[in-house]
Amino acid sequence: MGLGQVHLQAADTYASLDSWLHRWEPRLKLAAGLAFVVGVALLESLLPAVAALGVAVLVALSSRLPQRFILERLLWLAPFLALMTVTLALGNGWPPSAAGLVFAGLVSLKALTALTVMITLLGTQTLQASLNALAHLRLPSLPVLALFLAYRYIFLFRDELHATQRSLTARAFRPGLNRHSLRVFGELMGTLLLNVLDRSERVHRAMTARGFNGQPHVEEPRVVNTPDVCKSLASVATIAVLILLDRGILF
Amino acid sequence: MHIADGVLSPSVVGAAAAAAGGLLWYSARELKAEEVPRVGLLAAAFFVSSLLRIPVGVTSIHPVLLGLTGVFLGRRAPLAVFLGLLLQALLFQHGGLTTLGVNLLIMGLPALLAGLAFPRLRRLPVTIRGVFGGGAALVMAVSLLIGFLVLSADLYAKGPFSLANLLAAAYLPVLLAEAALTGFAVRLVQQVRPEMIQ
Repeated sequence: MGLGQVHLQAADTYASLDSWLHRWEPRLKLAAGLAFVVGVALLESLLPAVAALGVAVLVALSSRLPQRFILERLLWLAPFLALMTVTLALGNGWPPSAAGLVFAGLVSLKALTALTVMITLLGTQTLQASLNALAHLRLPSLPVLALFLAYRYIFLFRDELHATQRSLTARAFRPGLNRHSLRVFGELMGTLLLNVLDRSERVHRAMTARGFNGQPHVEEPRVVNTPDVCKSLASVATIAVLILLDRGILF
Repeated sequence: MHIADGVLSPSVVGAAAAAAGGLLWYSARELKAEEVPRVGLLAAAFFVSSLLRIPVGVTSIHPVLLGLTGVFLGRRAPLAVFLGLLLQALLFQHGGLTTLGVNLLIMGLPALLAGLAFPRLRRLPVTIRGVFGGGAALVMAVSLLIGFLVLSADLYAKGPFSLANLLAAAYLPVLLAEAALTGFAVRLVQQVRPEMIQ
């Protein structure tokens, strides 16, 4: 029982496949995805929410990402959705509350839709492309640089923590909710953080030595073409129609 | 401890995003180039430490270390929490994009407050300060989590077995672990590097 618990594949394992989603320019794709997810959050009735999930599933199926990859990632929602449905239905005891069940259904549909969209969009481009897209949004450069550094070092620290954990296991350490185990973990965290602090000092010196001027260097974004714009407009139009249906403005 | 997209009402998400924007602005204001490696690397370290699993019965819990984030980063804590949340959304799609603001308030605000309070508890032994800071930060975070859910739909608090009640109960072992871990961690930091703990 250890760090290996999060053995999800990287989000961009299948970024090198080819589909209309893979060919979509990352910035426009993320903007369209964000608009769609915000729109989904605005839905208030079941039928449009079902339709939105239908759209998301169709998009996911056309992405050529393995279905198993998508389903494994959707599982993250399972504990919360199950707990929410049970408590909304049975919070007052037997019999189950109908209003609670309808509400739980609506929330589950919206959450599944939003997550399916995010998995599909982020799965069809490399993570570096997503980060570069963020860097080209004219955000303040220093926090963006901190984000890049954090991304770079996550994998390194993960491996360090793995190594420590392996040596703990080799010395017959069994984690649990007890004083000894919490002390070991607490001191492990303290040591890790102090080492990280020292390392950040060295990183800063190395950056200064190489003439760092506070400006991160990011690959130039790809030129936006007509299909990119059409795809983004189609996404925004779809969610706009669903919202109009939801509010009873159409039909 | 993350709220996913689609769970909260749009008005709560909007208001929280605005407040979170303010918190982020305060936290990132006047960020200097020499602070960037510290914020980035510590954000990565806290991200990684939340991958640790402690078995409890049939399930397992993971530390959040909000109080410790505050102690190490002070005013920059919400910025580091935000970087962690963003990477978590990009890497695992845990937490959602529209709810980044809500999640930043849930975790960034307690980390900031714990960081501000920690140096002011100088009279207490350092372990106690850690236990107190770590525990209080988690209680604040869970209160905010439940608060946002109930603000968004009061159905979440209806009945004796409501989501609010069950969540509060489920976080009890996390509270215990969080308080103890933070206490042991700051004690170690004080022993190894006393100048860091004011």
